[in-house]
Amino acid sequence: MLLSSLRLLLLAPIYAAAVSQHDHEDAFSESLTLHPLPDGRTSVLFQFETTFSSPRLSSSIPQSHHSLTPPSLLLPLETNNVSELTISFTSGWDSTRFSSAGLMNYDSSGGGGEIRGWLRDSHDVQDRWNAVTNALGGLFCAGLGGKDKDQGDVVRDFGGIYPQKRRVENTTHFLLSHPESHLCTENLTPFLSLLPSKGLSGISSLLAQPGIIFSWESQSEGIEILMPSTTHQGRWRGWWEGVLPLVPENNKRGNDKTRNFSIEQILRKKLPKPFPEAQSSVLRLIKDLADDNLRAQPNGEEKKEWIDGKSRTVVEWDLSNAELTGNDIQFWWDGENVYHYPRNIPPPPITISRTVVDKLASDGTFQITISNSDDFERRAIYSEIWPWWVKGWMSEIELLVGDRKRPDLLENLSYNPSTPPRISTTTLHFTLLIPANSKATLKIPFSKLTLKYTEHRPDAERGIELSSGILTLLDTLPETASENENSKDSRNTGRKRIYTNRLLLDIPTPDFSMPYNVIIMSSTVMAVFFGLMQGALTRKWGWVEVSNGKGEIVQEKKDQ
Amino acid sequence: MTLRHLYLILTALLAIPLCIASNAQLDSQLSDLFSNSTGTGRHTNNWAVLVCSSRYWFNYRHMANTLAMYRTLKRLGLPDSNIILMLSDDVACNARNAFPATVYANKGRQMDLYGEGIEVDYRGYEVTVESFLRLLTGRHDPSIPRSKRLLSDASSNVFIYMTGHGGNEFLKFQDNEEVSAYDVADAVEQMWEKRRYNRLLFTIDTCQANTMYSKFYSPEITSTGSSSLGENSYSHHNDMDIGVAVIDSFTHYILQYLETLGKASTATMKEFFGIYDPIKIQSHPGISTSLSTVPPEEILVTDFFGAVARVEISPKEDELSPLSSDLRGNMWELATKPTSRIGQVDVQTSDIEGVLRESGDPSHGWNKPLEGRSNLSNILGSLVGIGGIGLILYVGAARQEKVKEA
Repeated sequence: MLLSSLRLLLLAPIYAAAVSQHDHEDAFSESLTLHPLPDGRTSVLFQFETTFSSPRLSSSIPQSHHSLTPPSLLLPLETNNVSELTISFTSGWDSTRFSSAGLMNYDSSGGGGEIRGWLRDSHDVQDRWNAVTNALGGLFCAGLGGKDKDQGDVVRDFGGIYPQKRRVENTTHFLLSHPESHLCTENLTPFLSLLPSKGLSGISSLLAQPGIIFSWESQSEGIEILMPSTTHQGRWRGWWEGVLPLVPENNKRGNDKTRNFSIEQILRKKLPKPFPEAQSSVLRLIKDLADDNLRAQPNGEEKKEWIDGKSRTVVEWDLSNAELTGNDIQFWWDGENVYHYPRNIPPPPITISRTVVDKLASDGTFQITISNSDDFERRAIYSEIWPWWVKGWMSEIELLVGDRKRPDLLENLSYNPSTPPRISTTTLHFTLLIPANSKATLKIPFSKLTLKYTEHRPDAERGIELSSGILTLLDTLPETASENENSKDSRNTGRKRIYTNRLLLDIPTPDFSMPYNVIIMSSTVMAVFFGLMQGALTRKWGWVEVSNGKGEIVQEKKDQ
Repeated sequence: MTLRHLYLILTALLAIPLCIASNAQLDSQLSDLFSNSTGTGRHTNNWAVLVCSSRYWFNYRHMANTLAMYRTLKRLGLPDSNIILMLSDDVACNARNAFPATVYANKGRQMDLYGEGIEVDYRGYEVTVESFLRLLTGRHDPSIPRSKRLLSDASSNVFIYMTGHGGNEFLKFQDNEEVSAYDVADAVEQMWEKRRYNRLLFTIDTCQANTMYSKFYSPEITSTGSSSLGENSYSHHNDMDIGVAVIDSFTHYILQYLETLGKASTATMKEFFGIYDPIKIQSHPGISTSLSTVPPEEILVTDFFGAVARVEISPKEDELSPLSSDLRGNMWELATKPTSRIGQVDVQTSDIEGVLRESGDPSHGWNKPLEGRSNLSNILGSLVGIGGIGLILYVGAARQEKVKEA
């Protein structure tokens, strides 16, 4: 005892030095969040966060040192003057079927893939953006680069929608949307290889199971990097979110009609050994108010937290606790023998959906329905990105509430048209007011222009996806409990953006065999006609002398 | 006394050829040591381009063919960085796949080809004739990442595997374009001109596949295809749960053979071609070795399906001097490798270099990897030389003593 305390005393300055040094070193933390949804599904969110500083900034010697950060990710960003970058892939998310306005992670984009970020200005900023998109597209095994060499499909006026998280002067925002992207194992493999735990230990080992992860209903993968500056440390955050299919349906196979589940049941693994370099490794369970009888064994630490406009109970387990390693956590609802689906699931306060009402194959109308179930008016920007071949009829835009036209609710419209037939984009930002307890409908008629043959997708007749529309709420407040004692205030949320689904527009690929048929048929007719004509005009009718084979020429009856 | 002088001169004269001989012998021994003794030919690295050119769920077998080749190459030691995998559709995460994130090439579903980790370099709409020809010829936009480039050189053995739907002298890509046998032949000729391969194995599994390699005219190509002109290539079998055919016949039998091989196998391409059985495959596979200077019995299967670790030893005189005038003028080199030119006085290098130079720390010195070897061989050579002198002196002295005794 004495000896150990003496040792502690002697080594104290060294420990202190180590700890103080640690402040500037890289730090890694990971968490796994479970959120049972009211309809029997469960949302699962893996988050990995590394804070890092660049030795390049602190020392005069040009050097690159990486301990927990992946050089393959950071080096292309460093060389290309990136200040912030977000990559997000989402597939299978359908907001109309879930009770939440979006994914648990607020930075996930709408459907498909998206790369967006802020680059420090330089004379060749466009080329640098091109280099970043191609480098990270190669890293993530997903074609993130532009379709066009001139970068016509890059959007540059979304800086207001995705503001900087950390203020850096003289920067430009870029966004490149790939609504056709989806997720598969080849995207998970590079994601895991970027993590310091490589999918081998800690929470990431639960994620490194493509067979299980990709059987979920929806997946979303993403990374967000804030590059270090002289004043701030850098941060890179990776997330993977999925929605488990109905738990009760799975339980039914074992004659269990409840929603009971456990970690091992959903992830086919017991709680893993903690990753030794992780500063924190936490399992979180989010309980809605309605789920008050949701229980867990062993018990975790309960606390109240304000999440997405609601006060919720969060139960936390520290996975670095050795007692949990190799064990399982059971979850059940007290007194539930048979799970009954709720008759109605309360919708999120703001919902948005987009459809196309087609009159003809060549024209259509986007019908965007935004409903506000709150008792107060909301102010928002609705943004769209269209490819060059979608031509909107701006003068015919209508905003309706119920059946009444309400042009007064449209405060502002920013329209940045494309330049057909070059590959380019049209961007639209509508600043709107959404009245309390009502449903606003925005109608935008459009025509589809004729695509170049090479611009058609190689899978004929499938159509082409349009990026998700984005509703950016302008009146959100920080995510802390509101001052009044209410347990619910939809304005107090970190969710600033709500996405519509992506949209598949029917673009028939011209069938060139039909023109060929016509050309071939008409050519045949012409050939037959002119052939006959020529024959009639140049042929002479008369008797021909034919030899009888003996060398004599038999005179045919010429004079007959 | 005069005799002793004569001996000395003689021994000195003898030592010179001995030194030279030992040096040459050492060089050959070293190159023997580092070269892959089981391999044939002079390649130092392997590359593979695996192309599945058809999309849609019902072409599952083409994805499975390609992925089975990918798994086999990885099993035989070729790293992911040297395999360019082009998959024109994603059957693994297709909504119709009852077994998400998996692809199987047999009906029992024993081995998942998609596995826990995979790197697909070109996928979906990226797989086009243009990207394939650019990949072969190396004509890319500068921003294209390394993972999407075939970074082969004049000592690379390149294996190209293609599968999809094809016909007489063409292979269909996606659902809207074709690559013709002439295009591929011209691209390969460009590869040869640009010294992008040492030896090339072209394998294709499609209908009328043998016509696809009939237009090659570049040297050192061995090619093989699944079926001759006018013949179809058939799938091997279905899996009732997946619901579609899982693999093509030709690829199935190739893989069945390759499964028997290990990394150190000494099987030759002749044995590989020997397993072709037109009755089993249901088509007549073709082999073309006329462009290759080496007959198939002298090429190992692992020359293409595997990764050699052979090191090329260049003679000392082929090295560029670090102090050559071209390099001295190259400021970029100086800036990127400040420690590489210690002792060289250059006013324009940074202060750090100056500090390093003054400290005279030898650990900062940049030694070329081959320099150590040549020093070693010199020392060994001179040791042998000294030994030779000693031996002759000893013999000479002994004889003198004999003379004295006499």
